[in-house]
This record gives sequence, structure tokens and C-alpha cells, in this order.
Amino acid sequence: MSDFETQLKMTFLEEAEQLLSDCEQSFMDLETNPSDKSVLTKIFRLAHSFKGSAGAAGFEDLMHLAHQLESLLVKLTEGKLQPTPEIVSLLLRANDQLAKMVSDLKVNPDLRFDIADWVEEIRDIQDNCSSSASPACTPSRKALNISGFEIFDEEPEVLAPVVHAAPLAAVAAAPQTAEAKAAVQGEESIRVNLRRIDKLVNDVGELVILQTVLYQYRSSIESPFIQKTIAQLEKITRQIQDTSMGLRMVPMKPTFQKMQRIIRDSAQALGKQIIFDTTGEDTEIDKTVLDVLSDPLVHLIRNAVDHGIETSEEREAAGKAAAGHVKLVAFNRGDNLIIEIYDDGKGLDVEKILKKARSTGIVGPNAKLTDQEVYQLIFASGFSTKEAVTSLSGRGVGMDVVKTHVAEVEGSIEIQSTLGKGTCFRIILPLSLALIDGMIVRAGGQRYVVPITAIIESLQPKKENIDFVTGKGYYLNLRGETLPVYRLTDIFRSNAEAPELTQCIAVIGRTALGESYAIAVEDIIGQQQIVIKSLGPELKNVPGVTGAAILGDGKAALIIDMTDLVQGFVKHSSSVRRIA
Amino acid sequence: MSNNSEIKKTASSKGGSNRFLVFNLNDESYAVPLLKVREVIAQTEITPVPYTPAHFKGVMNLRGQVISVIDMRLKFKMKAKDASGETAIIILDLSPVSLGVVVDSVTSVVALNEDQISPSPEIESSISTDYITGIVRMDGKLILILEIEKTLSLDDLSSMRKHIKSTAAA
Repeated sequence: MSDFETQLKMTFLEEAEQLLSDCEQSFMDLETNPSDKSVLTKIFRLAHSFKGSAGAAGFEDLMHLAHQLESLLVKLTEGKLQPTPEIVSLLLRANDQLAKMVSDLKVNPDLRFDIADWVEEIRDIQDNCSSSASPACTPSRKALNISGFEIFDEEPEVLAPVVHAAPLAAVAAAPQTAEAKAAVQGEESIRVNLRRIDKLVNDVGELVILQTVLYQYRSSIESPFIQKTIAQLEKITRQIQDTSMGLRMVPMKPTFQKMQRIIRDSAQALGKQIIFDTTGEDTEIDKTVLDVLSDPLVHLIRNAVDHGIETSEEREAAGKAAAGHVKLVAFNRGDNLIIEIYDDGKGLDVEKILKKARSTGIVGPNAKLTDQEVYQLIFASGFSTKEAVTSLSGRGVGMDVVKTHVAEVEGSIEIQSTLGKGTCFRIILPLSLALIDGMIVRAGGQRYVVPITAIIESLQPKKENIDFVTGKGYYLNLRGETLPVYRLTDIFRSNAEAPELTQCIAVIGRTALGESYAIAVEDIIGQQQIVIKSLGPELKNVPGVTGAAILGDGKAALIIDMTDLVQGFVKHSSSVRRIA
Repeated sequence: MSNNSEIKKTASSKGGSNRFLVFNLNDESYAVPLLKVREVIAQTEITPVPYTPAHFKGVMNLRGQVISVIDMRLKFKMKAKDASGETAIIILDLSPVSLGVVVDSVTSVVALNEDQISPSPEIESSISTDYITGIVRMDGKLILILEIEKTLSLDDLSSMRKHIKSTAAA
């Protein structure tokens, strides 16, 4: 294959993804608004442009399938067919198939596909429905609801031969492609390899650190002119930083659209009525964060439909509107991006969760927990609620994975719930992953970075607030709460001499289950924005060490995850104690 | 044999002679293929990493990149030596990782022909002969050619992981 040809194919495949995602959205618009002719016109234009470009790039299978869809769409625009849920479902599934083909072709552009089944199905639905323009499509409804085209083997096959009208269409479509592209893109933009952006963001991070050092020492420079230049440099550096961070940001919109599709499909499968609202789909999010969050969001949305929202009968019996509401909201607050998933379903049942947690041994029989702490239990691994009571069933499956994914991007989840009224999951994320606010602490002669978000408070303990329990270690009395205290040097098994705890700073953190602890360090050196550097594969398994940062003096310091450290330390020391 | 063919491969890929970086460890001379060397820098500040074996010196900042540093003396079970002005860190490019190794001093770059390199016999050296792919006699001195990837990468990574696991749980 010539370079030109490869280039052409790749360009098309990139474009095709956008076209298909626009189509998906339009299909759903069509379902909510069947009488809106402009939606149909838009879909027709998109499909036509897809078909044309696919033909021009030499992807015959894509073109043939698109051609079949196009002829179905013609019937819809002409009013010979009505956009029934069955037809929209078929359109959506065919769209999925095209999307899958496109992504496979990206890996291997020479791949061929067997689309005969699809062609049959698309013709079949037309034959079944076109006789009367009414929505009476009973035979195909039955077939499609079972969702599979195997079904059609049993149907009498009265099919016309497949029409190959491709070359003509390819020529006709050429001018339309440009038009559609303009409509899709709106503002002009270029595609840039993510690695290049990452390199830029990384380098700008370094620049910011060097600039910070320069700015701190500007008073030691005599020349007022240089001082002024440094101050100006500071400003422009911040601007470059803002711009470069913005390069990684993408709008949430495509994700929101995907969720709409998931809601639609799961609601249909479960026979529930659901109204889905979104707010803030233009909110931007770091590309990497979005990639990590995609699965947890799907999971939470599915849960809301599956386990949050009741059936129409249950809802009416409880005096609620028959259709349930699911709402997906994204917005910025301070340095955070917040994503909320609401449902007005049955809410979380504290008593049932607690009972379940006690029976699996996640909490002790006498533990007293606040409602918040109980809600967090559903994220505990091992809190599988497969055989749990109805109002909860399945809620726990994979919830620990949701939590892990969110934690991976330095985020946290809050839950608010009212029994019988509904639940809200709130995911709180940092705006950027590459830069974090870090507290620099010193222990055993080394400096470490702790993400500020992990620190609840820090204080110098007074002698009367420290207790020693033989065989257990030190405890800190913090306004009536008793917290275990661990020296960072002990955790790291450093041989460095450790000062008295009253000479130390206790940094307070909290585990996912809401247990507080204190880590004693010798000093807090300061707070700084830091660029996270990953460590080599040889250091992937060091417990509690998540990366490294380069401090103002150019030396590398380790970034630590306090909770990970404490949990690892406690686990091993309790096993040692058991042996002893 | 396989060791030797490895060298031949490197040599032939570059056509003819092959260049090596020679360094000293405990008064013995060692060499690594120059192709694997990214740069040589003076001893710098290294941040120790908890739970790692003794020969793992820690991590350092190489112009914004954080890379791991290994002490060759301790790796080869020689006794530790305080850093001097001659102490150097060789930055090796073992794609995809870069790794720094601390050596006593870097002496020279030599070009060697295949026929100058003899397969490693059973000789008296401080280190396990597994790591040596060949020896060269030059100016009355022996230079041991290290198979640096074998010395540092795979072996070391898995043993590192094991060590981290056992230390963190010990």
C-alpha cells in the first residue's frame, strides 16, 4: 500500500469516529423527537458523507453497510417508515458495528468483514415495516427484542440481491464531505499526538519549578531591571502553564452521550422508564483522567438504572412519578472537577448495608458508624452483595473497582442518600494530574512529598496527648479521638535516629473506611506545586511510593501515599505480633 | 558461545570494530558497549528508596527525568567505597528504561575488533562469570566485557521485586 493510500485511510478512520459518534447522538435525538425532520436530514447527511468517504478510502465493507443504512434512512425521511424504537435500536446497533469495524481497521486497514447478516437484517426490517407506514412492526419487534440476527435464519427469506451502487455514491459524496466536516468541527483545530503534548506539559512543569526558584531568589539580585524581568517571566510562565495544561483537556460531551446510550439500553432491557438529564457537558477534563473514569462512570450509571431506580409499579406504589430520573452533572469548583450522578430511586439502606458488612466481617459487630461511614462500606473489596437483599442487590459488585479507579486519578467519592428518595454519587477530581499541590516533609534526613489532598491536618503533639501502649505503640489523643501514630522512619525501616514524638509533626490522614491515623515526621518544610514523575518498572512495587518529584534544589524526592504506607505497615506488624 | 555470538552481532551491526566504554571497579577494568551508554555524569545527590536491596542506591534527577541508580560495587558484592572525585555515574540506555550505575572511575573508550575479544575462560575475578561475555588483554591489562543487560535488567528487576516484597513484609 502506498504512503498516500495509508494516509488517506488513516485520515478517514479518524474522521469516521467523529461521524459515527455524531450519528449515535442523532439516532437518540430521533427517538425522543420522531417528528423532527431536521434530525433526519442531519442523520442522512452524516450517513451519506460516511458512505462516500469510506468508498473513497477504499473500505468497501464500511461503504456497503453504510449504503444499506442509507436506504433505510431514505425511507424514514420520505415518511415510508416511522422511527420506531425497533428501527432506532437497529440503527444504533449498526452504528456500533460500524464503530467496531472502524476501530479494528485502525489496527489492520486490510481487514475484511462479513456484513451479510447486517444487510439482511436491515432489509428485513424495511420489508416488514414498509407495507404500512404505521408502527405495527410486530414480527420484527419480536425478532429484534431477542436481539440477535440468528433469529432471521428461521424467517422466510425473501430478499432482493444486495445492490452495489458504490462508485456512484463515492463520487456524489465528495463535496458533501467537506461540508459535513465543517459542520462537525466548528472551530478549526489540528490533531496532535498525545505524546507530544505530554512532553510539552512535562517540560513546562520543569519550567515552572525553575521559575519558582528564580522568583524566590529574585531579591538577592541587585539589578532592578533583572528583578522586573523575573517578575514578568513569572507571569508569562504561568500563562504558558495554563495553556499547556489546557491542551490535555477535552470536553465531557462524548462521555455524556455514551452514558445516554447506556441508560437507554439498560432501561429498555429492564423495562424501566427513565428520564436522563445532563448538565455541564462542556466541562473539560484531563484526557487521561477521562480515560480512567470512563468505566467507573458506566458502572455508576448502570447501577443507578439497575438498582437505584425502581420499576414503574414500585414507584407508583411509593407515590412517585412512574418515570425515574437519572441526572449526570459535571462542573468545576475551585481546583476540583466534580461529577455527580443522581437518581431519584430507592436510596441506600443503612441498616441493610451494615448487616451485610457485619456478616462478611468487614466491620466488627459493635462498631458504631455514621451514615457516611456506612455508605463508604459499599466500596470495600469483598463487599459483594450478590446474595444481598433486593434494595441492594448488585450494588457492591465492582464498587471497589470504581473506588480504585477514582483513587488512581487522585479523586475521591462522596455519597449522599435518602432512603426512598434517591442517591447521589459525587466524584471529586483534581483539575490536573500532572501537577499536584504537595507538602514536603522531612524524616530520617530525607525529604518526602505528601499530596495535600491526603492530609487532614498536621500538628505538633503535646506530651499529655501521647499515650504508649506496650505491644501496640503510640497513640495520639486528638480532641477526644484516639489515633495510632506511626513514625515514617519506622515504616521505612530507616536506621536514622528519631527524635521524641513531641519534637515531631504529626500528619493526620484517613483511610477509605474513615479510620484516622497519624504519621510522625521530623519537620514540614513547605508546600509546593510539584510535577509527578513516574518511577521505573523496577520500583513499581515499592509499597506506599507512588512516584517522584524534583524539588526546587534539583534533588529527587519520593511521593508517598500515607494510607497505603500505614495499611501495609499495620498488616505486616500485626502478623509479626501473631507469630510472636 | 551464545555470549560470543551476541558480541559478533553487535559488532557486525556496526560494521567492523566495536567501541566500548571502559571503567574501573575495585582495581579491575570492565567494559560495556558504547552503544548502550547514554552519557557519563559526575557523582550527584541520590535519593534512597525504602525497601530496596543494598546495591540499589536510589533515584536521581537527570534533567527532569527520575532514574534509578545502582552501585556496581555492591551489585558485584565488592566492599563499598566512599565517593571520590573520580566516582562517576554511567547512564545506560536499556530501552525502555534508563539506569544509572555508580563506578569507581571511567577510564577510556576503546575500539575493539572481534578477534581481539576472547571468550571468557574460568578466570579469577570478583564477579560471577555469568555476567562476562568476553575478555580483552590491552596494554598488559585485562578488560572484562560485561553483558550489561543481563547484569542489570531482567535478573535485577525480578530480584528487586522479590526483595521489595519480602522486605516490606518482613
